[in-house]
Amino acid sequence: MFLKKLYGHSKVLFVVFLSFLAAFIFFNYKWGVVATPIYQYGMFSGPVHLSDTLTMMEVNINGASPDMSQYSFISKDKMLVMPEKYLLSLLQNGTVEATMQSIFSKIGAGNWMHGNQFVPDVDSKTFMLWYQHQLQDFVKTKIDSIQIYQRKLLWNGSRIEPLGMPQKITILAYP
Amino acid sequence: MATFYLICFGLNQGWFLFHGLHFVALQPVFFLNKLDITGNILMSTGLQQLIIQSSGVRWALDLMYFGLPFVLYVAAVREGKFQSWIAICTAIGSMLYCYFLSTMSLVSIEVFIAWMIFPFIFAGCHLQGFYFRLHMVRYLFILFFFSTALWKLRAGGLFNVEQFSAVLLKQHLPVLVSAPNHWFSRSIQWLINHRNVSYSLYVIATGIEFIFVLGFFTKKYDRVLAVLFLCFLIFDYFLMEINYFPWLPFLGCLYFSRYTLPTSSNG
Repeated sequence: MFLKKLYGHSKVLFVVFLSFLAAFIFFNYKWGVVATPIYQYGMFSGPVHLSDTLTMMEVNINGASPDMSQYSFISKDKMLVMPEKYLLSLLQNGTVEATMQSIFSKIGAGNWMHGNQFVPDVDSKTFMLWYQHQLQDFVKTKIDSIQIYQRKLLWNGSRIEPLGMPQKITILAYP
Repeated sequence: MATFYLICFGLNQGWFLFHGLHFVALQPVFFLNKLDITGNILMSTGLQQLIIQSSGVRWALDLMYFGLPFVLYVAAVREGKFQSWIAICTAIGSMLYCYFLSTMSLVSIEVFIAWMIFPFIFAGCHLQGFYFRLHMVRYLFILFFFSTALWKLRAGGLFNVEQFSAVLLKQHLPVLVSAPNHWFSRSIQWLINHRNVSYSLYVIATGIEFIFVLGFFTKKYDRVLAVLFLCFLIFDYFLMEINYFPWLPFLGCLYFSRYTLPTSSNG
């Protein structure tokens, strides 16, 4: 048996290995918090349905919506995931900090966390300037303006239909 | 093995460099914090703010991340006396880099796990140490892969017949909306409309993940597992548009596992 052989080879390695396994099982059982390099590989495991309302970001560059089939999936993600991630950081970073602080406080290390380090000091204008630069790397035409909308959609059994009007995200606009 | 690791790293990082997924190209301006205990300890150093503010720090981190595997390769080939330390530094350095890169870019942290634990294989100087570390990493990889199947059982996706149709719809929504007549959109739409076919694919993929449990008990099927794993990576890339090729080094664990335990400490 491998564990027996490992124990015979090195007790330190044996303990390291078992600790990693135990931590992996613990964090996966707990379902939520992780501890790098221990993660949960549960992508696409929760039930999703065709009747679910779909939400997506839509980017308008120079007043037009780009044809997404013209871009690599990384370019598409740069276009659509990064604004989503930025908005999420505004909403989530403070909450995550509070949750982590409560976890660290349990072991008497709550003062490790200082708010200014866990919340980036970046306004939406700086983000949009950065975003424009990122997009300019792969969008062929010169980017003069960007607007971002949030769209709600529904699969009707054979095609995708819009649910209401797209909502403009006013804080995400360039220039 | 060191050569295989270096080739995997070179190919993968070439792809990341090409797509500007490194700090110097990214010049990040924000980060997304996550519920990660170690990650938050790393963040308590304030390095994320330095990455945003200083181009010197970004250059230093990129050089460290891209350079350490080469240094480790040279140390492993020459069996130098600092090999163990270099291996540990590579693992920790990669963990640090990948964590911060994932908080500041679009790449998920789970994608990078191989770069964090694979260098550990080279932390032993003699052949016996290498053998045990290789098998430790092999077992961990099998556990990671097998756990993905358990998650599908636990969270319930496996019992939902329209699961993969709905996943494909969500995953490819932007291209389905903006170019519904493109051949890729049509292929995805076909799969969405044929729930039995897409669900069968989902069940087959979960079945492949389940089969990895064999790896806990025997090394006899490691070649088969390696082929299945490679198919998984290819389908993930082309059908799901998710790049899990940074897991490629784990393939080496399945390939080199056929060698038996060396009896002499110096092999």
